[in-house]
Amino acid sequence: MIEAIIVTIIAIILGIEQQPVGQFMFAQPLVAGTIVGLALGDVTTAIEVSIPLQLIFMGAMGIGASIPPDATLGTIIAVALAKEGIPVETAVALAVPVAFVAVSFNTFIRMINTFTMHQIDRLAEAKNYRMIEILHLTVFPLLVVVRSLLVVFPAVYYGAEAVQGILDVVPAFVLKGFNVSGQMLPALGFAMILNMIGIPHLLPFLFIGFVLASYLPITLIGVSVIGVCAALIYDFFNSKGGSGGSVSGDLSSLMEE
Amino acid sequence: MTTLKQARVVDQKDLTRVFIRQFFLQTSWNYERMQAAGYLYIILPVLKKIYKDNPERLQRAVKRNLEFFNTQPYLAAPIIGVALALEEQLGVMEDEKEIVAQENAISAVKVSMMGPFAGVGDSMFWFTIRPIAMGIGISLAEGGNILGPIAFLVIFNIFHLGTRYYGTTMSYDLGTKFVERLAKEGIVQRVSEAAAVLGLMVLGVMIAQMVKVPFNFSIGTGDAAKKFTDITNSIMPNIVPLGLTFLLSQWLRKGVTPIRILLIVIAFSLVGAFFGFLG
Repeated sequence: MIEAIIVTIIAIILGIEQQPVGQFMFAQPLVAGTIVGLALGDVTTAIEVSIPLQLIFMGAMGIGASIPPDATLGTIIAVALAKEGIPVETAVALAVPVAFVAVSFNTFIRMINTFTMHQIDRLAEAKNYRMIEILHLTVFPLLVVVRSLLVVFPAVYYGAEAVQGILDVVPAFVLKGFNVSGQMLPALGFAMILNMIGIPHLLPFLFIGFVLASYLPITLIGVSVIGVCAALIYDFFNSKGGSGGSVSGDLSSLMEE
Repeated sequence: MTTLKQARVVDQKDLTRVFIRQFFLQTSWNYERMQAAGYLYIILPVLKKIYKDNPERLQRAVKRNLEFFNTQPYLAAPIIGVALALEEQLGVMEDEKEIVAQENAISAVKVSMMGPFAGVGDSMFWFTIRPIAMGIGISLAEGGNILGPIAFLVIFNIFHLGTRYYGTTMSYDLGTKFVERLAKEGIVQRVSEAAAVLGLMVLGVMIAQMVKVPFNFSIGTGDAAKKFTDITNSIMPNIVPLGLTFLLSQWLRKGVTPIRILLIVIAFSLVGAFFGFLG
């Protein structure tokens, strides 16, 4: 009971941090899961659950008007369930459908906000600026509170026992299958990022990074340094060859000013 | 024309306030006008200061700043900074024709900046800085080390907060000069492309290190039997994860929804685990 309350409160705070306020990335699965782990007293398991989820949802991001799967909510519930004894692989596998179902709530919230917007128009007409600020600041967060109470609390409170009951009759290959899909699914996130970057003629750089990491014992930081160099060199030659001489110098000269 | 210098009413305190209010840019995000109310919320204290003796002009400015706005949240900062410089200038204008022209200019600046800045911001933060910071965070977090998430937050937020703070103050100081330079055709695209070069290289590393397709069967019989993964690895290590990523990218481009791909991958894994060729 107390655990369910704690987890719900965390879900509220992180749900608000996720989009409406801040965006310091506390809502990223790795961080969100760790916070739940800290609160429930098992950071190691929490991080074990969070890493694969972080990889799976790496490419899930809100660009423009799109609403990504709610990886935060999925992770929070998964970590809470893992703490209560559900195996890590299963907790990870459970988080994925939760994240996708939560999207419909998030879409609904943003629909309601459209009415808030019209109310704000009316308040501007009435010169009631204080009330504009209050409406702007409260409606979305309150809806996140409602959502968390409806979804997170019951999932954590009833979930563990219900899930354990199901697990006892689930054959081993199912758990193994979930485990395997957890290893493969990061490819989906990376495919999404790849498509969104969407500059075909830059694709060779992906292969350079891939080959470096496949053949050499090089870390991500090492490749990043090479990547920065590659970006500057690319831009140097790209800007020389570009049309019109009006854009003078390269990016580094722009930064220096 | 009134010069910018004479018009200045915004001080450092106001800019700090505008910086802090930017954390509430998306608090009433909605489908119709997206970050519109958030934008107004951020600059409202400055508008109140500019028009402290003129409630009618204040209302006019408030309504005008409720128009559609949406960009990458961190890169709203330079747009706001520039718009503030222009708003301030507008505040001391008295000729109606001049006012209307300036109002149109402000809208134009907002609209023309928010599109390209959204693109640059996405490629900088979502495709480059966040994956790199997260890659570092994950590698530190292996085995349950709390240093991982902390390192991620610190690295990411140095860029995040730096962009929001200096984006606001510097672009305000530089006024429109900064905009003209950045919005000048080519530069925005160049920044995006340079960021994409780095982003793609990092993506290549992450595909190699983080995607796994654990095939578990052999080809051939007896002593001649060779594990399938050994064969693929002898062609090139991690070639299967790379192929998988490109296959899924292809499916996404054909319009297969992510949730459907997800279900397919899970179904494939279950089948593979059942027959024993995966896992």
